[in-house]
Amino acid sequence: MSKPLRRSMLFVPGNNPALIVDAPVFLPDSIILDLEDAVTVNQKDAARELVVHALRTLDFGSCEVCVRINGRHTPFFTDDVRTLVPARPHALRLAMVESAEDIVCLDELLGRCESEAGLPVGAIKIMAAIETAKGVVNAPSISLASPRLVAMSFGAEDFTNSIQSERTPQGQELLFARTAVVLAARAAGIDPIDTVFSLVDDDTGFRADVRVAKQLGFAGKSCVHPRQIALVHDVFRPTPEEVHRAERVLAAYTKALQQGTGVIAVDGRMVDGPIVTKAQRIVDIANSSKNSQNWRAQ
Amino acid sequence: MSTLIKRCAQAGSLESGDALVQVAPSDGEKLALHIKSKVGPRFSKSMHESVHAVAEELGVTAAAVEIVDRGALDFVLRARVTTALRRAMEAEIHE
Repeated sequence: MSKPLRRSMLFVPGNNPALIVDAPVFLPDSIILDLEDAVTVNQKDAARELVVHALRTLDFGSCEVCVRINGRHTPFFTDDVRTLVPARPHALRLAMVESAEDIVCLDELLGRCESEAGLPVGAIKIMAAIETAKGVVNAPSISLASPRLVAMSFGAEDFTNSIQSERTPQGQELLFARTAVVLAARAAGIDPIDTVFSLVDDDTGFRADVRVAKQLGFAGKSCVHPRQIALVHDVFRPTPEEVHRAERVLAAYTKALQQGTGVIAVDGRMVDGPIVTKAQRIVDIANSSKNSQNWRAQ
Repeated sequence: MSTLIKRCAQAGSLESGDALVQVAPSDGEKLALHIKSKVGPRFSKSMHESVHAVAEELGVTAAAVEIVDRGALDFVLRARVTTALRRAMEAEIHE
């Protein structure tokens, strides 16, 4: 089975029924039902209840369904986890993660709730949202804090607040942090997910931002509007030329192995280990893109 | 009078696809339910059943419940009724 993709992760306000119902229609790789920033403090209970009923009732099709829960040090954290676990989302994205302890705490609480709900311990995965300077500095230890961790996302708005800066179109203020999150996540074998792009009408700026994210090594991008999904998929999808060349590299490599040949070349370029690995990744992504998603089959 | 319902409370909204549910203590011994909905004639029975099922689950036998429906699906209605009843069962004010 191809590796499931997390190119596009669509945020949906957790207290808006119409947007929750519509979300799978746009075919994002992941849907994030948001109980944090999109929900006012006096509506947290209503949103939590709505999300639980949605998880139990709606068919989200091929989308991975996650819930962004409130941070560990908020008064909503424990209720979020306890209420959501029996409804079995694929994953919880924990906001404002600043230390490995935050993840360990969530992991332990999830384990207790899963046992109480009769679910296998470890069934629900974790995504860590890195949104502060402290979180970025601790990203390496956070990324290794739990076997449940499947992704690490970066949040630029809170991050720029934490370093007392402002977001700019060029994004120099984010470069180190984005790279730090990518390195920590990739070293731990989990998916790094880039921050949102809030100017929903600026397709040109968004596409450029997604290209940078891809180039930096992110596996996908958080989206705040359905129109951003197709643009993300378009940027992350390998071109037919890339796929064709990758397939020829793999074929040449397989043939060389069978014949016991030493060094090989394709189109005049030497093919060694990293080239083969890269070619395999391109083919895998192309196959996953083609097959859409398969979260329900996981 | 149900001692479970301590105060007036509401949940939901008048946005499309949602429902506004208002709950108040009742003098009677039953659930006094009033639903205003454009799809009322067709879905009235199932909406009443859903509200009663949620109330029963929470142990509420008496309350005045008013619902303005804006095309809410069943899971939305159940979620909003649950929240409104829970809020009405609590002492502190949420809204």
